Amino acid sequence: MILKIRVLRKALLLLSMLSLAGCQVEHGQAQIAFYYWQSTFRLSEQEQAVLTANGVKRLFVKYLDVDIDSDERAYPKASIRFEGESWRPYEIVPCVFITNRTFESEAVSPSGLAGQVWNYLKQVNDKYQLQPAEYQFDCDWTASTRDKYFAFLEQFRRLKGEAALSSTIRLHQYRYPQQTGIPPVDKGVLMYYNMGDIGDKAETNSILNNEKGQSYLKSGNYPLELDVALPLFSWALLYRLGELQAIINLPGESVLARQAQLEKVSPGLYEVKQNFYFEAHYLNTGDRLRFETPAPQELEKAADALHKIQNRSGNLIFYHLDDASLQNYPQGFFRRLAGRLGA
Amino acid sequence: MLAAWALSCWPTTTKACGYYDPSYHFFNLFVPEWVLAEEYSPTFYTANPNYNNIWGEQDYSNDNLAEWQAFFKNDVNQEALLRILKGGYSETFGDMSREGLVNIHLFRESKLPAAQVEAAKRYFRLALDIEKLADVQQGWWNYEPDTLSTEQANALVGRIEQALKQEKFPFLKERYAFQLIKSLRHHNEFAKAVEAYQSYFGKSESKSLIRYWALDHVAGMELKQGKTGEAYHDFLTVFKECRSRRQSAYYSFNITSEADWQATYALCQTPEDKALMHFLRGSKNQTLGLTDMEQLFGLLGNHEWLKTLMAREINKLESANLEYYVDQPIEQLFKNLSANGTLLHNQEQADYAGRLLRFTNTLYYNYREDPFWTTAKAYLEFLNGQFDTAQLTLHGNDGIKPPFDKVKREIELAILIFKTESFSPEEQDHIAREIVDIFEDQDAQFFTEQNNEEFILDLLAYRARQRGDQLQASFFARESIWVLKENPAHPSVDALLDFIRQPQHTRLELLALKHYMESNQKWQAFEMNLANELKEFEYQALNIKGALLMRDPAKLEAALAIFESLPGKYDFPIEVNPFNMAITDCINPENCYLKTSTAYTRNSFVRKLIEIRGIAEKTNSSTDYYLLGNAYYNMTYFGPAWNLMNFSRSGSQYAGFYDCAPALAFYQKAIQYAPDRESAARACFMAAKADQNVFFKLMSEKERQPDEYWWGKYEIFEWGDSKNDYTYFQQDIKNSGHRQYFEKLKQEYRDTKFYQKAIQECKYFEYYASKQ
Repeated sequence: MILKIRVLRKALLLLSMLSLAGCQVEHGQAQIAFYYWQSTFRLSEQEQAVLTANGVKRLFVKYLDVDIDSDERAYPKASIRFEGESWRPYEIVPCVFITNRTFESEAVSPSGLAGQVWNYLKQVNDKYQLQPAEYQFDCDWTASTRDKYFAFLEQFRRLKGEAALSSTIRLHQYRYPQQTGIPPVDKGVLMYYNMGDIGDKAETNSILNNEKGQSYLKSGNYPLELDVALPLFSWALLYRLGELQAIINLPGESVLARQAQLEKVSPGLYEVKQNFYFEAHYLNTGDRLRFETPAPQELEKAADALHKIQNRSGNLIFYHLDDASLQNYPQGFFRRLAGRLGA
Repeated sequence: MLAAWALSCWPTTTKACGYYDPSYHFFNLFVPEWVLAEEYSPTFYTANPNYNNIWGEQDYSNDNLAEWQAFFKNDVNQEALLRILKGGYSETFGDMSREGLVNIHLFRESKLPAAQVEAAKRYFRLALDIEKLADVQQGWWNYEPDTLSTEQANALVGRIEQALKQEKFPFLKERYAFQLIKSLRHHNEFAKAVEAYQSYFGKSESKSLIRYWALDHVAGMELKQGKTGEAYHDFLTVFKECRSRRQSAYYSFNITSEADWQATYALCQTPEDKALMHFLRGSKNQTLGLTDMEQLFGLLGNHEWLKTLMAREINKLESANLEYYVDQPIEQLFKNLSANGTLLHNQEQADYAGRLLRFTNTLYYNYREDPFWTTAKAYLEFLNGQFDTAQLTLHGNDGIKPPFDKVKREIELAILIFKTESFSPEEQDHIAREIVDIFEDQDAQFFTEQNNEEFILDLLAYRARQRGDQLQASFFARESIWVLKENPAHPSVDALLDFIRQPQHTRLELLALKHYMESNQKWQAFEMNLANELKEFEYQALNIKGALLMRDPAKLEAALAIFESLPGKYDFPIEVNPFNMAITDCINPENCYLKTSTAYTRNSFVRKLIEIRGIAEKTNSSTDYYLLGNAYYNMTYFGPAWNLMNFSRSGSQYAGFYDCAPALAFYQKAIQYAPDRESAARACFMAAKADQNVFFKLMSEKERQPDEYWWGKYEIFEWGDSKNDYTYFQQDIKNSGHRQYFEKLKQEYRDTKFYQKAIQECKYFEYYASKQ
């Protein structure tokens, strides 16, 4: 029975891939791309089908994180491993996430770190015979780390050759460029998500809250060309004794709804009635879980709001490509969003 | 990468180099070291997850050394053995290689049989070779890991197998087997490694340390192979049987699914093993321990593990709610108490504390003779704000003896302060006695190894603030007289003097005062010699008062009267002559050309100042005004005689008396009454220096970043490449009106000899004269 279903699913997938093969971006809609944020890089059949259906040409792939050790020295972690060849048809944009505390460390020299990161990226590129046309850095820099982060970017720019350089821009950085500065890059990616306080029990949706988000968009003209990033992920926030204990990545709320040890106390909110293991966490009686996901209608509102900002590049990047998250959105939805955002 | 596993038959410890702050350990009043055995300290006594990463010592790291010593019957050089096993530096052998120690020093005067010596040498040599071979540094920034090649690894394994086969001493045989298992593990030969374990340790009844170290590796491999039940059960065994691998096993015992829990549980043969599973899970930082405590109680009853878990749960609650100095000031604690009736900051915490209390009640009634449960019950009642009940609980058990009585008295002390806004003299005496006794703080240091004493003192500081008694609040907040010395003000000094001169003091007041005045006396000796101690405190306060009065030239007589009333030791000779001037500032008397022979002491100098001031005012003598200006310049932060009016001098920011306005006022009069142009030029230059310092003072008080205006910034070389910034900075001084004396000097005294000298010696004047 299971085998039959699998065969059927595969056939349907193949059919949809064939029917969508060669899909082109329609005039007037944003070019869709995806972030790939897992350590093992391989594309499932479903993921490939979605990429094809949406005319995706580029994938923004996280190569590594950079953090500091107990001696406050920078080191790479969660490095990428490429598997198979399914990713070959796509243009790969290496991304590096750098924790803000890395630049707070006095032991970290921006130019030294730029050299280390560049060499590391080169090693990965050489191993998989890649010649990226763009590199992207993701760092939630603050006023106190701005100078070091920007010096890092300046130095990296000198090393990288012809490729373009981009940096993620968080909403507060977009809203207050005078205070937070403009990174010395060719292009930014405005991250339109993670806008709420996950530590706050009373928060309704910390991933996407258009009311909050739009208040950040009032600043007007940001002096960099901007790609726009929208969220596709969901999670359950675990609160213990009234405080945030953990973030549990979940594809959908149904996973919570079917747990016998959980009682739904309000929409999206569950209470643990008996200790049990859940998604590698040991939950305790009295714990609360709040499920959060960006609803399709909220993503549409977000696209409408972002349509109005100036200096858009015409690229829409979804965070992030993952089988489970993709299932939450109907066919054609990503293209609709790209249409609403506009080229 | 492999360096850590080759010879390393010892645990490596992570040590941070830096100031060790014992209070980082954890926050508590319910001190586990007081009420529990040391067996599981510190791993289970801290609620702070960083503790083990940063400060934690590996458990029982000398057990391996002890086994070697036993094998050698203590008949080897102990220091050499330690160095061979642990590496590092030793006093006797310095940086000598470990091979050298094995070959030359370890057995030098040993009477061990030659066969044993040779066998041990063979083992050490191989182990050191393995270490060298394996010591391939894994550069973090290398994408591909640097490991041994297959050929190298095979050769290594082959050598160990050969040595293992030939070895006759069981002790060394086991150690070769351990090396083999580790080597195979790191070569990803899991099946062979497990097979090797079975072959050498499987049927053995050996309880040697190395057997469990090998089992620890086997458990790690089983995890990778997906044999989770076996793996966690093996970690459990290591935890139980081998204390030197307990910490490693504890952190590896990290079950994440019900299936794994059940698979492990099924392998447990005894209630003790099952209870240990609950103990380990319940003690994880990310777990609430109550459910596991209930299970543990069902399996073993009133066991030490149960108490350790309860102490830990209480410590976690304390850390989350009473840790006052982070983001929950003591005021918040009192607010919680009045708003919610508990010391806990939210309902969820209160609910959990209530559940813990219900469970504790069961233990309390079943084990009335066990003081642990009495104190735990009372402490949870205290956290829940049930102060009367807590007191009843404590009084209901007469059997609370040391060490439990300390917790009891601590709870009672905290309750007394929470319940009482204003203390009677008897209550104050009681509090003082308890602080000294419970926290063993006979020196009134007010800083103990744990922060429970600080918590009690902060409660007292809060009560003092409530009464509007800022002075006592500062005493209990662990301020010291140095704060007053650095930044004295008449009201604060007068308040301190009034306090010292009170006809009567309670013991608590005296204890706090003793701490504040930094008295080194033991508390008992201090009480015995009270009148003299208080007199000495009074002199110290008067000395500050006198120095403060000196800042105002009109109050020199009052200052002198105070100085002359002090014992002779408070007067001191002056190293420099403050009446001399310098074109460039000079601070350290040792290097200062103002250092001229002078017979002044502080008191005689003040007398001289009064005399000169009198002459100047009477005769309008420019020279005397100029001397007064020099004295008042040199006695500020900017001069070498700063110690006449200050007790310390910061090397990085303005502190103490740094106001050059009195000096400027004297220089102005010196210019006004100058008998000739040279004298006027000299006074004008000094007025310009004083005026610039007035600018620095104003800016440092006004600006958010006073360092920007720290003295020394007008030295052009301080600005490095930022010459433009230096120009703006100079422009700032001019625009704010503090360059008028330079301008006067430039416009009116350009033709004087002094002007030429100043231009040559003073770079910033040269800059001004040439650019502005």
